[in-house]
Amino acid sequence: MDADLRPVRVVFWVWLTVIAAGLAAMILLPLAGR
Amino acid sequence: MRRVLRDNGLSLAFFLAFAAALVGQSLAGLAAMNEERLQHDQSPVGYLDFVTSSDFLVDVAENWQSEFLQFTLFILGTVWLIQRGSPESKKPGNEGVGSDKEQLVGAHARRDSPEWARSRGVRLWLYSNSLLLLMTGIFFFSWFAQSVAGQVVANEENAQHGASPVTWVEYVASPDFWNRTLQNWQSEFLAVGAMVVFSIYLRQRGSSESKPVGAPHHLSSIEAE
Repeated sequence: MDADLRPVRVVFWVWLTVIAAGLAAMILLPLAGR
Repeated sequence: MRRVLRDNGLSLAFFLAFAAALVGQSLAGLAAMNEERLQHDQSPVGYLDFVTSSDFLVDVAENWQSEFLQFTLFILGTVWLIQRGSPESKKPGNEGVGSDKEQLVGAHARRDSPEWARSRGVRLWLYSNSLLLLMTGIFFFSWFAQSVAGQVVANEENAQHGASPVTWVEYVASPDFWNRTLQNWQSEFLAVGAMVVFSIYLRQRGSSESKPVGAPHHLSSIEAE
């Protein structure tokens, strides 16, 4: 059960990280005047 | 490995589609921008310059915010509002957040329930609303991103036309900001509403978004199961 969920957990964190990184870039780059 | 791919096919397929569409958007956007720059006798910009520019980011952000708003409102709306017959809806009479017993929280949590479902107070409240909180957060951050990137783009245009720059507050009150915002919202609300209504009478065999083909029109998907 837990072994099956390990890749699922990775998928969850990859999605969250990509979205957080995207948001950070979309906010910080314009604030830096890009 | 094959098992991992099969277990996560839906999220992996959408991630690849997202990445491909974003790259496609960046290439088409760069081509469009350089076409316009040539017409104005300006030198073309490079790929890296373009994808880190507010011109590109405002277009990405305005679509992100509307998508996350759509799901935020859908998650929130389906707590309290019902559409009889829709697989996207609970059945009439089940409006609201449900009892602790139905939700398997606190004393009613199962042995394999998430740890926070077994907690109480703030932790239980946070976990009980975690999906809505995250989607709402992403919506507001991407809407804010749209506003700051949009302000930069608007001020670039103002500078080219000799107009004075606008402040952030002036930009979020401007027609450009609301035109970008509402053109995305209208399509999201239309699509969600259409999905709710069409799925009452129409089916897609095999899809979790549909009722079983033979389920009666008046039943929601949970009732039909």
